[in-house]
Amino acid sequence: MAISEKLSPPKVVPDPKRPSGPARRPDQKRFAGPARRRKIALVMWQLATAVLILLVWTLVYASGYFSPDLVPPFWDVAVRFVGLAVDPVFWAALAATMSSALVGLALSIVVGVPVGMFLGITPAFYRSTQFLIDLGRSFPVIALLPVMVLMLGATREMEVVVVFSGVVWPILLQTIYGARRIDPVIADTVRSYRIPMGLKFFKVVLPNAAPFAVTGIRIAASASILIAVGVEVLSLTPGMGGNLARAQTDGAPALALAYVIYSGLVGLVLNKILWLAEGRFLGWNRRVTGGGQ
Amino acid sequence: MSTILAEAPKQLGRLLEQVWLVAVLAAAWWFLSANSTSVYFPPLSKIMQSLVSGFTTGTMMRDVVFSLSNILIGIAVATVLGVAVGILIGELERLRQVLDPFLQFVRSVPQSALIPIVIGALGIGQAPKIYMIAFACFWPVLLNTIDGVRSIAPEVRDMAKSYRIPTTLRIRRIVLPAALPQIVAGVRVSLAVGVVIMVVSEIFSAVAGIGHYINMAGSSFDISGAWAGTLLVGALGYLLSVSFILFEKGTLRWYFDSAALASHGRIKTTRSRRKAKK
Repeated sequence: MAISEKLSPPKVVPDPKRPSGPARRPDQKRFAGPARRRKIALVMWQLATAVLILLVWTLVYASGYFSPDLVPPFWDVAVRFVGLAVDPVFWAALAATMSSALVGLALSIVVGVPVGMFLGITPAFYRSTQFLIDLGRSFPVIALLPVMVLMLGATREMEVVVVFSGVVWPILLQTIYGARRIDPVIADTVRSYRIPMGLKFFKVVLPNAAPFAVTGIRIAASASILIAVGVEVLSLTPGMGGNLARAQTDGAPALALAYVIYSGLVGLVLNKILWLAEGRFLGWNRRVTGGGQ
Repeated sequence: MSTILAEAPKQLGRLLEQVWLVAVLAAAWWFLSANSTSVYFPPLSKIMQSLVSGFTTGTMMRDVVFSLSNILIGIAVATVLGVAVGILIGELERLRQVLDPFLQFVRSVPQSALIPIVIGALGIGQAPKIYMIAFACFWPVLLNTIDGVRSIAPEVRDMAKSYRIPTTLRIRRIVLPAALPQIVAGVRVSLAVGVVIMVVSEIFSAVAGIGHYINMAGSSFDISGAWAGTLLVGALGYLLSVSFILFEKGTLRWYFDSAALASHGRIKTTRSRRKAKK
């Protein structure tokens, strides 16, 4: 079961035991605001890296080694990128993709967390469903798409169904894992004091499982966007992915790349929000154990 | 011998406990769909027939080989590059800090969104699919390797520095073994990513592959063929992940053993010291 939590994206938690190279130098303390200074230097380096990437991009474009369909000049992409921000078509596509992803996510939370809790506290049911869960987890849901398109058509409902069947697994697995992983000392204490079932559930099992479930939800949230975009790319359902695939076939690779960049930003922002929300509501846990990892 | 005999019923019970539900569900599907006239839910027996005929007379065998070779080559390339670059970035803390926002961004890009662009530009053949799989699988391996390299206990680093262990020896004997559990975890994630990219790229546009098979069957309203391909992909995904877990248990036995004994850093220290002595 330790497998499941490895799926979570690596966190950027500053490790207090290992400060970065320059921080170790004691003479740095003599400067006024060394932290701020380092921060500025870091941002400068990052800007330089961005410039370098654009430079390499331009060189690759100019060399003509790749077709301009794959590597359009970055200024074209920049123009499209800015153009999309004021384009109502883009905002409609973003809303469509987000709503399918979030509805699918909400459904899988509603199903995944209670079922996970139940399986977590009943070992017999857990053992019986283990194989089924393993099958479901390793099933590439996107393969269901052609069948789903035939059954439900290239519609929003179909997209929600596919997103749901893809993201319910991490939530389920993490919740089961959290509910099962109770410190043996606590389990013994609960038994010794004959703490009633209901009280045990709400005061021991639930708080114990919550951080894990939330981690599962965070993994699922990023995955839901990925699946929604993937479904749209293949079925041309309206949304970011659909518009992107159509832009490519219409011979506008710069527009398609601008959509790719936006979809990356959406994923990044969503992950950040969830990370902050997790810290806010379950901060007690992150301080103690390092975030249910 | 007697203990084995005594254990046998217990193990049989455990096995039964694990498979009964799947067996019941499969039987339910078989019998409930037996007289199905619905276009979309053909009888399971018919799906199985499609599967068998796909292998014996159809193109299924070629498709499976095509898909499997794509994903295996893609993941091999991604692992080699991801580990090499990951060790470099993980060792150079300053470089990691500078690159961090870029890595976070690339990780968030839905890889399947790149498929239309890559296939549109490079064609529907096999090579662009391998590039796509390798590209998508590169990031989980890279990020996990960086994490693994950074998680080495500072005492171990200081020790290596005090003894002036040369860089190549240090990377081979300390950094790589210490990061290995994380690297393997990264490869496992990339396996799942790779299967998705494999299927999506084949459904999008291809000349062979299981995704192609499903898509062709689906668009010619051969629903049982589409179901057969879908089940095959599921079985393939499951088999890949199971065989990887077995591989992982073999390569990381020392880690699982040591994790049960003590915290990572200490065990790795003694281990690498013992290794260095040899």
